[in-house]
Amino acid sequence: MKPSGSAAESLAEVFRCRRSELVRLAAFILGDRPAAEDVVQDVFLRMHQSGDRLADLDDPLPYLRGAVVNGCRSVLRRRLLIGRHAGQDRPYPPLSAEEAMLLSEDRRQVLAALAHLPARRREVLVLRYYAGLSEAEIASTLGISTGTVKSTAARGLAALARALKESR
Amino acid sequence: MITQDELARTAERLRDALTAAADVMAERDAAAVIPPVPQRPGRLRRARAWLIPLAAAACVVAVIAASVLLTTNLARTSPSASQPAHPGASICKPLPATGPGPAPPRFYVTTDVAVRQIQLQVRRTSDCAITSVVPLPAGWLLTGGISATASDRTFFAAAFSAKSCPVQAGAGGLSSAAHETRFFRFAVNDQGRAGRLTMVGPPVAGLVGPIAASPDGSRIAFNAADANFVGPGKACAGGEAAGAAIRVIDLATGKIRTWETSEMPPAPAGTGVTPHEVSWMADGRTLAISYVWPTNPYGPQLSMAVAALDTTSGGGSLRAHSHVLWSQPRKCVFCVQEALVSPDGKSLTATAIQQTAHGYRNALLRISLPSGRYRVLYESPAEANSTSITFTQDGSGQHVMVVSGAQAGWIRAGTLVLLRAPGSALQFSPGITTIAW
Repeated sequence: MKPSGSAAESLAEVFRCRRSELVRLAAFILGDRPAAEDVVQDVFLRMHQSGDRLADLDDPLPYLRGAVVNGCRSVLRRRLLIGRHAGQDRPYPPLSAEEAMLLSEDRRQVLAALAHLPARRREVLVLRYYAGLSEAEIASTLGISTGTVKSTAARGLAALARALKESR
Repeated sequence: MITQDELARTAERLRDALTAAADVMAERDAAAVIPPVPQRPGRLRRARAWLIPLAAAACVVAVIAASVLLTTNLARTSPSASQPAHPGASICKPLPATGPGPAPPRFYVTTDVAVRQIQLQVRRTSDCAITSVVPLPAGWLLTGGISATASDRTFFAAAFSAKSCPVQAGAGGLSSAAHETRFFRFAVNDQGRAGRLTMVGPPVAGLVGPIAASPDGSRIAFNAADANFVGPGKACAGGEAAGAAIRVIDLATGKIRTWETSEMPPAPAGTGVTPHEVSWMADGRTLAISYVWPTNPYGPQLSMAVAALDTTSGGGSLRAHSHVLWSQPRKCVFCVQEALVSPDGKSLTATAIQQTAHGYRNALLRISLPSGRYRVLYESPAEANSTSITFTQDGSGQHVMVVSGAQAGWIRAGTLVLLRAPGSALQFSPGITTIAW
């Protein structure tokens, strides 16, 4: 079902306002900007094709964020399968060399350490410290319990701290 | 073994790194243009065939011009290798006609460096053009305190004049000039034309610091830290008692309420605090006050907090009638220097500095309350790192106007829109806001 004229307009408005933010979120999870752009594009395309009424939601961002994280997981699963046959070592953060140079050495180290965390821990830390979500919001977005969010975040942060300590 | 302290520090570093990387990405995104949905697709089909090559040529010229402008802008503001870019920097563009949330105020008030103490200027937000000039009455000089009400069309300014003043009995010496501060009000119409400047409220002894008009314009809050200042080492006979204080003037009755700020948590007992900025919440009764206390005479101010005062309490001790909204973390990555509360009381907008290997980096933060989580709204261009940031927010709290060096802009939802002309609003002294929006 295609959305009506007003729904299409609201979808276009949400796309205009939220696309960049969602691409950055996906890029931090995937470590790959083109793939992040594809994920976000797919989410909006599906919404457009299915006629999802974003206008009915008070705040469409949590819904979109959940859809993007799910899309990222699909990419990571596919990548895992491919990786078993042809290993890939993608640069992280997902920035060009020129853009990466705009970040200080300290920030690059933090992001490099984040890239080496398991995907779930990275997802939780990105949602917590980039998207600024509460534990309950992360649990809802990822479809896991709040307790799992807490323990995953704590383990992820500890692993990050250890990695940064060792890199000194 | 990883300590709690290290975990907290790691969390701060992670948040900072992600925000900076996102800002770098945002800068690239800002350069990419997403074509708007055509409102009337039929127009293109009706266009004459000869217009197509002309349009193509115009596009090429536009792209080259945009590239040159963008390159010039980036060259002017391009960070060094160790500096992150400021978010969403782009060439100046007009305000969006529509968009989510309320529109930003159409006019702001500031002063020009050449006439900064005798003249106020009303400027249009979209292009910085001066729409009206408001001279102060002869003999009056601006203190730097300017404020707007929530309606964004009524503005207040604090100004002072000198008057002869006998030196306090027993102090010796000659007569000195005392300062008296008065508040002035004026309104701006739809075209940006300013109405008559009216003196409002009773006189206040000495000079006042930052001021804040209540959302409805019925009261003015100000920092009276310098209330009894009349000259080096002198006091005016019959002048106000010394001591830092926050005051609120009710313009209808002329009544002044005072809250003394001798001690405030979390400063150690016996340590006096100095109030800085004041800002109102939308309820018109809660006033946020930022204050500092001495710990580090060199380098960034580390000891700072923001408290919420119930202004219906009638005066007395600030400590007794307020509660702390936020205080500076002991190990701050970005150390806050000045802070204003949002009208809904859910966040602070604050200037902060980060110590780097090469000096200091200035930034503007949005800090969530009560979690203390922050995001960087703006960072000074690399070459302006030693230049402090002046900012103000509008009545909705959703738009922030920022001036740093020769760069001025306004921010909504984390995106910076540079104004066409460099901002002429400068700080008279640290902590005093000279823009009202």
